[in-house]
Amino acid sequence: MRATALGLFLLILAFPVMHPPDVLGGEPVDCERQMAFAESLFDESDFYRAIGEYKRLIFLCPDAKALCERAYFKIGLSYFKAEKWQNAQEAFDTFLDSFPDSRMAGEALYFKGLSEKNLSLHEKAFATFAHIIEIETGEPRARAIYESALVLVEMEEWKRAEEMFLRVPEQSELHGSAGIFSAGLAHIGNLPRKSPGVAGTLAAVLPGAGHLYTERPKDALVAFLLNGAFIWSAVELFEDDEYVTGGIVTFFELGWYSGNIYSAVSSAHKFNKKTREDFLRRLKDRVNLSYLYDADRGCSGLILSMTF
Amino acid sequence: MLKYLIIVLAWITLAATAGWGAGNLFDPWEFGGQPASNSGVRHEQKTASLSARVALGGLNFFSEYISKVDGDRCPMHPTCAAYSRQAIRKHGFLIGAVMTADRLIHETTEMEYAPLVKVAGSIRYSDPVSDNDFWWYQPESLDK
Repeated sequence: MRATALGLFLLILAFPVMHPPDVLGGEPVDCERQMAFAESLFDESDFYRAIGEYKRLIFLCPDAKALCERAYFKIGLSYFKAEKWQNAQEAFDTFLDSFPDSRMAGEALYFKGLSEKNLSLHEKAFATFAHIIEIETGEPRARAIYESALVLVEMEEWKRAEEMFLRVPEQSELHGSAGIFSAGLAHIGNLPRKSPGVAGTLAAVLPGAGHLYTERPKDALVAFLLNGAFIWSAVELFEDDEYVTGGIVTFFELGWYSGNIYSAVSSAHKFNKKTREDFLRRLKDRVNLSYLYDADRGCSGLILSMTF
Repeated sequence: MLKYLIIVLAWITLAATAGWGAGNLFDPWEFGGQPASNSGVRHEQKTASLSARVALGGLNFFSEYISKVDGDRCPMHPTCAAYSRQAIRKHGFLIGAVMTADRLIHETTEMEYAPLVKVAGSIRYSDPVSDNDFWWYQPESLDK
């Protein structure tokens, strides 16, 4: 009885080995269905799993060239949508190397440029968009010009950015927002500014004065009181012939004094940076851009909304 | 007896697994490979000189023995001691000390501008080293 039970148990265990599921072999893979499954995951924004399924398709259906081409592209796009910029850049590079003549090559270059822009690889992004400007026409070209100008804004090359925005063709949907940007950038030189040199000199002459100049009165008070207290105590100690203690206090005072100058110069830079960023934020708020990828038509675009 | 032992072992295994799981939230993007860096920037760390090591030792002593008694009063992130450590490691003793003095001077006003971050359950004002050396220190970029 026991032996029979054991035999049955072993038979049940061995059943999957004797009858392997179809996935391990047997039936051929339906590449279209595999692609459809990957696309459904992509549409659900489950990009991590979608990438796995696109890779499975590439592995199982190497002869389905059109599907593989699309799968390679969508791997890059999945990384892009998941904001994995470096992976996206590499995936689009792989796509462009594998399918240089693809009709999706322009799109791949565009998303590669955006990934590089998001990685702050400004020179590379600019070169990628310049390549698109050379090879494309119509709206894709206008879009690349617009993005090049935005890269130049990030590089703080205001004049070049202004000129680049002016190159967006009139017939493009982006012409209006490019006009707002170029008009705005023409005024960026008129923004209020604090000179770091003046701030540093004032702080060196009178601790705290540099901070007053950069509109930080509380920091000015702290810098003045700290330096004043340490200088006063050092002077008192030296007058009382307490040279060792005086030396120690002077050592610390040197730190406060240099810190005061550094802080004043830094405050001026922070003031200028904040003024510039606020100005650009207001400009970008007026021209609200977002990216769109139309999976059905296989094309991407910019959604533009403007505030009047 | 054996039954009870098995139950206890199973319970311990389950509890340990649950505890391990709670402490290590699974992130599929970081699984099975190098995590992708999205910053595009590499930060350098200087080799600590003798003066830097002495200063770092002093800061560690302060954090370990004085700050614990003195209480947590710093509203910034990183705290002033941590900021000082980071500045000294990044730029060496001299500039690190100057930047520490700068932090102590500017933290009052910085609270009016700095973004808020939640650190270990408490809200703090974010003021990293990179926000105070951006105007002269360019980290090595992958672009170059």
